[in-house]
Amino acid sequence: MLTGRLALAVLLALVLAPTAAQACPHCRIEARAAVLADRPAETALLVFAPLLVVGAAGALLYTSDRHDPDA
Amino acid sequence: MTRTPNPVRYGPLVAAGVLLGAGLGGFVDGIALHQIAQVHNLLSARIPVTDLVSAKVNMLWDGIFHAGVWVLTAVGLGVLWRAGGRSDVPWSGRTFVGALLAGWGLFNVVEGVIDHQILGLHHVHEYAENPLVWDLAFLAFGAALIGVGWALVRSGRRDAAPRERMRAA
Repeated sequence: MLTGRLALAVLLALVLAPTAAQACPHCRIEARAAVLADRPAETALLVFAPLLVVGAAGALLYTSDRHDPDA
Repeated sequence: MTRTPNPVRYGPLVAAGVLLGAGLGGFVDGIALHQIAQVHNLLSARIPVTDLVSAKVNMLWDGIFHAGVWVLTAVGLGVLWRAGGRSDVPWSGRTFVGALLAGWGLFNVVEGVIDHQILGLHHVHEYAENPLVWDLAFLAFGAALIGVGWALVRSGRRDAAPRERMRAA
């Protein structure tokens, strides 16, 4: 219970820290707006493409399960 | 009645190593290149880093990409855990380390070919006089890691025996 509250407090502090420190909140808002305005789903698909290929390679290796009865 | 020993299965350990290696390699890339060297940002060829807003846009996509890398690492850990519980999977250090290196190399090669060459999202060093040299070096490093990793995986087949048989011996 105490750990949960502590984790929540740390999370809240991290979220509020940039605003509290006045760390250029306007730039952050502008950047987020730019990301959301410029086909974010399509960009996300492009960004994740290499990871999807690596994941597929891992799945192929897992299922390939080469047998070597002499080992 | 003689009991037929289980066949040896390398796939789960190699898959776990490759996924973990790719994930950890992605973190090396993120920490060393994106954050410390401040190059190789995700969309820097499309949105050049010219001011704070464009830097933050790239930073946000870097973060989204590395969240995906974290998922890849977590999946690799899960696969390793499952492989560890199987008696037919040889527990070979050489196989696992080889797969880790091959996974790191695979990350570099796949990321380099797709993002740098095909999609043109970014280059390793956007601000260099000749970014292609950096891109090719990145690919060559990845290919070398795959070569060394694959050789280790193959050599691991000699010293690996399923734990079921090791316990019986």
